[in-house]
Amino acid sequence: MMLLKLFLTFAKLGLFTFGGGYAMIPLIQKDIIVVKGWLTMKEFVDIIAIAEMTPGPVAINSATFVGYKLAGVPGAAAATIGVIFPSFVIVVAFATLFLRHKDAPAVKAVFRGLRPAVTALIAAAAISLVKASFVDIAGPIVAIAVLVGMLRFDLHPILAIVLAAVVGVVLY
Amino acid sequence: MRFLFQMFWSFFKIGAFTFGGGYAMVPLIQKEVVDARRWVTDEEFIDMLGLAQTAPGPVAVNTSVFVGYKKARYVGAIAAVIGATLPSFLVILAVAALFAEIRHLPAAEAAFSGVRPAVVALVAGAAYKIGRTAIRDVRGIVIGAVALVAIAVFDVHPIPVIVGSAIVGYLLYRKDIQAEPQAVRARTAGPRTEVGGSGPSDQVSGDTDGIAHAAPGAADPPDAAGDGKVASAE
Repeated sequence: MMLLKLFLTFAKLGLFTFGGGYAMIPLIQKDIIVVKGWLTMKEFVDIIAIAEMTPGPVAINSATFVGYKLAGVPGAAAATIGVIFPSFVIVVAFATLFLRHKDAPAVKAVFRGLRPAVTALIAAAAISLVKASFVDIAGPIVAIAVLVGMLRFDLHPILAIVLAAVVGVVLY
Repeated sequence: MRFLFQMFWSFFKIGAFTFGGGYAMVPLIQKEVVDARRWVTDEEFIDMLGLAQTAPGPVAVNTSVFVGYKKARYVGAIAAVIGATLPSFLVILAVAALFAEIRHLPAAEAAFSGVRPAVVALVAGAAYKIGRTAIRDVRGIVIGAVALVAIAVFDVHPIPVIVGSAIVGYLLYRKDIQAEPQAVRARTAGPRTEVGGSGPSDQVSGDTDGIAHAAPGAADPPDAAGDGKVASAE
């Protein structure tokens, strides 16, 4: 019963998480903390901090954490599957439609306009990350080194992350 | 079966190195799915990111479902989505046990201070690489610039930006696409039928696209200039 409740609650949250994790924070706050009382506010703040330091989006991390806290590993699985479920169904529907109609002239025109906007979305993400990431002069130096490595020497992103972590440990 | 494991493993790697959420995983997905495996073309990758923004859910999860579904329907989508989420699932289970200690470890904090600027560069690099494919002419530059100002300066939500640019794209590019010869449309038959050889055949048809696009533009001087430049740059 608890497992089903976890699945349904997080499926509802998953349905309203547009554009990555942070949009979900007020929703989790209301549903999980105020209404259900499954989590304290302090625990939730810690989850956000962990989500930033570990791989994975906030939405999935919160689901796994809350599920585990309430019902162990099966709870973690139920909540995590729940939070992904709506995206899975909707993206499969989108993919089906896209793959079937991508050669229609109207669809091609739409995507030709959409692509520059996607470029802008990603550029804007880079800009917004600057503020939280550059604390001193070492920040821009690491960033420029990685950018040159990536665009000129085809540096693999995973290698870049690992090297930057090593630099972080040495410097700080 | 081996293919499904490859799908799982690729997204497992992506999931394991996605720090900070949002677009931090775009360069990784690009490297793995477009450059290394050639499961989707450059253009499909960008289109997928656009679609991922209009559906609920984290971008990494949505793109994994899309790529998996494209290559192997439902089983592919499930293999990819499990791969993408399993790393964070396992890490959070571990963290939930020893929680408070890890957070305040000086070594962990130092490592993350180094990782954050690298993530900025990775995301900026991804925007640059995507822009080379996505922005074909002056109209593209204008759409991109307006979208960037809307998001970065005026804090507009991504969904209206995506929907707006789709409408503008339809209005601006409708006539171009009707003028493009059939050769361009035939190219999609290639990548969909075969698995292994889809990479090189995309490259070839990509070139045809450039040429075919410049040809009808001859009747329309401003277009011929813009598209011709892109074609030769590739």
